[in-house]
Amino acid sequence: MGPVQGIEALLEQLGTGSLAGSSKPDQEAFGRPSRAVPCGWPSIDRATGSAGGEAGLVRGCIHEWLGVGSRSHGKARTRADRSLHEWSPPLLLLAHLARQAVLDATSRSAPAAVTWIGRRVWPYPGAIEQEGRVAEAQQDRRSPLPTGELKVQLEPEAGGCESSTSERLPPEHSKLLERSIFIAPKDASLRLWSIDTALRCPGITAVIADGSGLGMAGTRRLQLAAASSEALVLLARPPGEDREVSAATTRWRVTRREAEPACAGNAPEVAPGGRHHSDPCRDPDPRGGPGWTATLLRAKGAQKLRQRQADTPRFVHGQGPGAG
Amino acid sequence: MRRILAIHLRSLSIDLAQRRRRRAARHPGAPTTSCVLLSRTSSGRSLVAARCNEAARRGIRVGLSLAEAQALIDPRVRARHGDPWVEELTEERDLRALHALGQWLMAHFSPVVALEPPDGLFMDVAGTERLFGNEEDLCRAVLRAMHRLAIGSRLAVADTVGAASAIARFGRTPRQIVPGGDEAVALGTLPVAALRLPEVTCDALAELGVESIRELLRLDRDRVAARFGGDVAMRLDQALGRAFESVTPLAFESPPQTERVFEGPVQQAGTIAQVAEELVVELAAELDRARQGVLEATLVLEPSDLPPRRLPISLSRPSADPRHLWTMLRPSLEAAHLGFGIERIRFVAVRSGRLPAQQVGAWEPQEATRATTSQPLDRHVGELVDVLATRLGTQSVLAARAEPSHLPERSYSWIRPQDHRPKGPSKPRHTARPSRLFSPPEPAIFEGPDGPEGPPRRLRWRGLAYQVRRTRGPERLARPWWDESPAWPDGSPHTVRDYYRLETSCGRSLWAFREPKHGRTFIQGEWT
Repeated sequence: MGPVQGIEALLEQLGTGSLAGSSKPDQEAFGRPSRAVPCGWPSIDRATGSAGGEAGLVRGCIHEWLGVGSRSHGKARTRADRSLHEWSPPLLLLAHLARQAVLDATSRSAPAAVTWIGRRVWPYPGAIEQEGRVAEAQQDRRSPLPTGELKVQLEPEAGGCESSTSERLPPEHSKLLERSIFIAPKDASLRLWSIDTALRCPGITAVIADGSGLGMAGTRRLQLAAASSEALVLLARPPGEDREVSAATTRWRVTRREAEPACAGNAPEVAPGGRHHSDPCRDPDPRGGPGWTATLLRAKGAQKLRQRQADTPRFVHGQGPGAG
Repeated sequence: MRRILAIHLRSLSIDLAQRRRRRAARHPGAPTTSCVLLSRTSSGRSLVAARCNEAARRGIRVGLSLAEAQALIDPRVRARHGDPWVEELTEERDLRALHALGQWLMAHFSPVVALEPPDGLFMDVAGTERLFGNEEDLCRAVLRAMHRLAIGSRLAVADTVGAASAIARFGRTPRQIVPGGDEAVALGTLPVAALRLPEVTCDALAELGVESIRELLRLDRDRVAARFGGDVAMRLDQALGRAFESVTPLAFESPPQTERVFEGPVQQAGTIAQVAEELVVELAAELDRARQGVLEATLVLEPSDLPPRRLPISLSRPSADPRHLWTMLRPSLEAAHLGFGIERIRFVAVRSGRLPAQQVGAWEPQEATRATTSQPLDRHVGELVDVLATRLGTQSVLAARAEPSHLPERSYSWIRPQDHRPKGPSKPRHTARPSRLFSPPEPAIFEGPDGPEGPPRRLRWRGLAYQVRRTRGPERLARPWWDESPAWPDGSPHTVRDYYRLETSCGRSLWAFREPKHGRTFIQGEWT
């Protein structure tokens, strides 16, 4: 694909909001239509999508999700230090995406197995047995796309994790637990090999893996394996690795929903006599439950957005370096 | 000359049932009863067809109804060890076991083994006793082996099939060796029934006062034949060696295998890998012709200076795909130590199963096979599981199965992905469960307005203090009283736990519980 001719053409292309357009040359090279898994989160679906026009996270690409926790890499001396530095993958979001991938695959009657590689990303089976969907909260108008940042508030649908979805799905569609295979490699090299092997299996529709400590070489290897498969690859990485280079197509940071401005961020604090818990048993907010903010940190081919903001699109030559 | 070793399996059905019971009792939570009953259905009622020694001690007789038999067992024993192990008596299953036992004996003691259903075996041991010492040692070895298999047996060695069988069944000692020519003496004291005569003939002889074989021998042979038929005389002749009796030996069933013998020890790893791959391809083609697939296979490398080296593979579903088999075998072959060179390579299909049926050339063959196969795994996923399990170990490739338990730690168990998953709770549980479960629960300190009772306002956990913004609960979970285990999975002996969902001011959602009896508080999970 040659350089983009003219600003108008570029802006027109940008109007479609295709962040993952970089996958287009690869998909054409492999001669398959590109597919995407709709996330069920309108803002993200609108912003991302395959070159074929399908909305959602593109299959055959790596999507990194930075986990919830502290970003610092301090040395843990005390128990409090350790609990400050620990992180956990956004398991409920990953489970939601895996479920979406399964639904997408079963709707095409394609094989729909899901692998969870690395004990850290194994969710408690009780959490994925239920039809617990995560929905997008009301959109935040202050951070729309033109600022170059995509920030989405997510929370479990309809009052916590109880399964009461608005559009009731047929029961045979929600067998995520039955389609899941849990794999526990002993070290990082075996983990990389396991992900690679799983990606080469045609029956797998989503690979969710612990991607901590994977460098450029590792992610590049996975990206090459993923490009030849139909699987959705979700890597959970520690929040401190947000500046690591990798071959991933998108990178998302997940933070907990900030409750009060006074204790934004992750550092817990003790404030005696808060005003929010006059009667803790009575839930003032029927939504309740946990909530997250997903922020798009980077996406291949997304320099277009930044350029648009800076209004200097001259040196943008075509698409990004490609996914595979 | 023949030397026949007869084995009489006194209580084969019960022994086999005991073996099955013992295998099932290895699982945690299985009843510990050692009482085994076999039942048969007679005109709509379940009757005891066989019982173990312990049941016999408790007064259970063959022919009682099953309900009566169960009632004979002390209720205290039943409460402690569970109900007796009851199975339907199936002759076909016992016959299969007898056949397998015959195959096993053939591989260990003698090349000629014949079956005498339902509970006997013959071996021609002429010549093979020298491998064990003498006949006495051979008998001891056989008895030891049967004891290891936990199958009760009695043996006799004699020149004729009839005599050996009679002495094994009716002899005084469990092991008896009759020197050649002494059959008449050894048989003399045995009852007439030992001659394998029909029951009617035995009864008729008993009416005449003929109880033992010695008395039968004293009678005039022609008159006996005239009155009771030629059968009696023939059986006598067979037992005493005056008439020949033939038995049909089992055919030895060797597992399918392919092998190559080198001219001399070969040390080149490349050559060995190439030959091994050829063997895999040959065996896969051979099995595929029979519509069979490998479930377990072993590559045996026989070095010139070391004992054979075995490289096993096991599969989640039958496969005759040489590429897949070779993918699984190659990593272990590459790591194998070749010593001073390999002289022989064998590839043995230890266990094989039927390949799923395929319809060829009909409409939409793929759709048809997908609909009809009842395999739990897709073919590609099954191969992936095999490859991963071979390298990572079977304990590292798992699937989750819902269990009928409401305790969070016991609600799910890890199984191998290829295992069949019985249906869990038909309705998915609708209670909220966290996405991470801490096992064991981590101690935390609650501070609330009501002191230790009630929902907490502040929380101290892992050395940090949190403010609780919102609380949901309690959800009370109690340890099931019918459960045998005396504690929660983490060892707490208390019965009841009150679970709360806490939301801290920094946005963490925690799953905490309190044990009301002692007021101890823990964090057991988190929604992440």
